[in-house]
Amino acid sequence: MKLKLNNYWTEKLLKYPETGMGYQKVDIILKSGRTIRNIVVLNAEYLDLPDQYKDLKMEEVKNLIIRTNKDR
Amino acid sequence: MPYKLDSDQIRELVTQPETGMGYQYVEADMNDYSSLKGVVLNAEIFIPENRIEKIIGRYSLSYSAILHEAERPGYIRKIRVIEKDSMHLGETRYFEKSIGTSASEAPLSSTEKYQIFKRFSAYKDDHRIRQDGSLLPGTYATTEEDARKVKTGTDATLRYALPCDDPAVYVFTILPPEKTPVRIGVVKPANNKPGGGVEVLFENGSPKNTVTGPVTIPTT
Repeated sequence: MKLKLNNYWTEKLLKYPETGMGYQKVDIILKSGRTIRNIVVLNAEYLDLPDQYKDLKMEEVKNLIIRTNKDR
Repeated sequence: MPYKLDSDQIRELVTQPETGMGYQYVEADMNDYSSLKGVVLNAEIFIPENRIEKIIGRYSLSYSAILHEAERPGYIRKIRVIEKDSMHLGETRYFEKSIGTSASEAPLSSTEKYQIFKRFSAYKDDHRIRQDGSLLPGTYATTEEDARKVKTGTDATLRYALPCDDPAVYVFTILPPEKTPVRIGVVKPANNKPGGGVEVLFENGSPKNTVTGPVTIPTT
């Protein structure tokens, strides 16, 4: 399931290197305090979420932390 | 100096297992009666161990360049694959460091004049490519030579182990200035895809008017 990011997040992600061609990997920090780890972001624009997070809304996201390349 | 194998040696090697994707770790008995360990690429070219780092590192995986420089067949009397179980600690260290390294872990090198790179994307509006034709720092691409092996968008997702199954049908061309800093490596298997393609990390991106496209290739 893909969740579209707004321009704020896209511009933030584009300041960081890619993990591979066309994608980055991030940890999603939620406002609830939970962390969803190792999520792919495509084209700095779409979070590629597992089905279990299909109900996630962008309003619930507090931060996106870029993972290092070794986490590929 | 790399050495081409003769047709009998090639036939012999293709019947034996690879040590890793595209290579075999071998011991070669040379015509001068010395014995050299090293790797054979594509069952075709022998590179002695003490030359691996220099040859492969210098050419940044340009197989055709290595082939062009290789000595003609006839320098090797006999060659045999060293089975993995018989390898000593560190015997493949040079090869792993140069060929098996992903771009992010590879040493910094510089582009050559008129060297062309390609970037495959599932998105026509690829955000790493700016409207002024520049490439953002930390963007991945591949060499023009490696890109020739990719005929479809699905090929690209497999060869570059892209996490999304959407075919990367949009192909951008990058012609950076000479001496642009890049890291060149090999895509490791990831995202349930084999990888194996050449990946080029543009450490500082590429300046404006160096990226054109995209052209569209078939999906499958």
